[in-house]
Amino acid sequence: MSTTSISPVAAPAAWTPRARAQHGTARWALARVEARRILAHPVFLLGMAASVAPLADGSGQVAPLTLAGQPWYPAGIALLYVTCLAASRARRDGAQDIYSAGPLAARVRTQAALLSLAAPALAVAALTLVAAIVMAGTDAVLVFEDARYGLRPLELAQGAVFIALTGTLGVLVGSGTKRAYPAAVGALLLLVPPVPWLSWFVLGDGVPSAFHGGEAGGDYNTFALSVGASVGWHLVGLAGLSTLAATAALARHDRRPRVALAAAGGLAAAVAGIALGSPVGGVLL
Amino acid sequence: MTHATIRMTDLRKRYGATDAIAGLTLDLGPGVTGLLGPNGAGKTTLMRMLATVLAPTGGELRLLGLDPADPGERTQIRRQLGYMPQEPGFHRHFTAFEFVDYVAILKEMTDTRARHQEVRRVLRDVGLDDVTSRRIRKLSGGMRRRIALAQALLGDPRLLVLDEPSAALDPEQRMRFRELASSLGEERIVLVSTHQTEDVAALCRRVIVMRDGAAAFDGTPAQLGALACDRVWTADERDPRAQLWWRTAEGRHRHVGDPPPGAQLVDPTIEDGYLLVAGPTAAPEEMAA
Repeated sequence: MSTTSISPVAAPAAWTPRARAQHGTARWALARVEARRILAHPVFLLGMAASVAPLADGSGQVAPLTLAGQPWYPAGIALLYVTCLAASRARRDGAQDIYSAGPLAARVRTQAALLSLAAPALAVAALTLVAAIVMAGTDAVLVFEDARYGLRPLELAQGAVFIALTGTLGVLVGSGTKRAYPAAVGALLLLVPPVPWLSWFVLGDGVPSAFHGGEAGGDYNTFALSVGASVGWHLVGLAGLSTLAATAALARHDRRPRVALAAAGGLAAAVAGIALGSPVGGVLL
Repeated sequence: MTHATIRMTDLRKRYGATDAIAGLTLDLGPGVTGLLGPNGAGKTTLMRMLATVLAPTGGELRLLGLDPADPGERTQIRRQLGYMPQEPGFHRHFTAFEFVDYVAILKEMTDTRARHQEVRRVLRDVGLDDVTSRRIRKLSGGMRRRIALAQALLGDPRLLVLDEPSAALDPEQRMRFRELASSLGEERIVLVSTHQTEDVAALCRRVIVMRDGAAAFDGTPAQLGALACDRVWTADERDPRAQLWWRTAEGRHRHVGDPPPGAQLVDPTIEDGYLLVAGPTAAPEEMAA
């Protein structure tokens, strides 16, 4: 042990009640700290690196597929893992007594964990936007072998929404387990289109077949991307799943009616979105 | 209006068929109060209830004049509470500064500049100002103990609940801890659970000895030591009539209990008084007659 000595003790300055912030401010402060930890986590950085590489090379034929968010799959997996670890941190490290003795309620800590997901989602949105401008220019029109395709903002939003969903799933799994590592790995299975009916990314009907090598009308399906569905409904479905996962995480400490209401809304959105926006027929490659 | 007191009335905590706290009635005011007792006496259970992380099974508990069973009042208590658990549980990949800063946010300190100043202050007070950027996993057990103490000091709490704060500290650090706790106790309620009778003797105005979930002694350290007056003696051989005995470094046998006629009485210590009160359960088996 170090022989560091303790300096003579002076009576500490009073922490005035005015200096104490209310829960709302503390929630944002905690969210900022959690966001910074996510963005600096090596696993997340690795996932982002794996995702950005295809973006940089996503020119020509595969550009619409790239911009629809498919490259963010590795980042999503990494984020699920990282948020699962973060959400289980107190339980995993046995620090619950310290957390519980503080005035910040457990539900506020979960809310902060969910809010922190805005950071990776915004990062993905920004990178997608940059990639779109680089590939399609400011007029947002892709050209390949005389085929033209005007990018739609909703298609570009899928990456960010998907990232938010994976983070939310990580918070849900992590907040309910002490064994975060196996739980995180198990939760990753949620991201594999399970019964190939749910594609995580879709392109609408309007994309010319030259861009994806299939026939127009939606028979192009990959591991996580389908063509020929309603992008808007697909986004509704992803947002619904996110809301459902978030409310499930919150419900551990917050049984207020508004949480149940949000869960019901999330469930309805998820069902509607999956039914109308995530076409059956995705094929595992 | 809140009152700087802790009031327990017939306080109970039951785990299955076991009464961890069995009808404890106590009032605590400002100053440092020491809590002694053998393992399993209910010290940590009591500390966790005073820290509002564990709810009593029965009885009444008021902390700083507030009821911890009421969610709103519980939050008010927690805003004035510093708690150092017996096993704090650290995020080992955090640096010392990051961990204490994180706990500071949990205590609703959200102004970054003021919070960082406060974090630096408490780390300085426990003598860790030169290791703030080191990861906790690389710190010694004693340093981690001091991080746990530092987070409890955040925000200048009116009520400090410290569960074995001096465990794993070297003699110099223990002395410094006593100095710190003593100064804190001038205006605050400081409750210290410990196995170190020397700590109690050095810094506590009041000492409570717990046994089987109840207070077996409540008084000053001097009164605790006085219980053993004329009840401690040494002899060349073990005396089976003693309540407790152990072999000293000099090869003699020190006994606590009712001395035989003509016994060579020695000056008692607070530890002798504690052993008399806590009984054989406080001593290793080989010490108990």
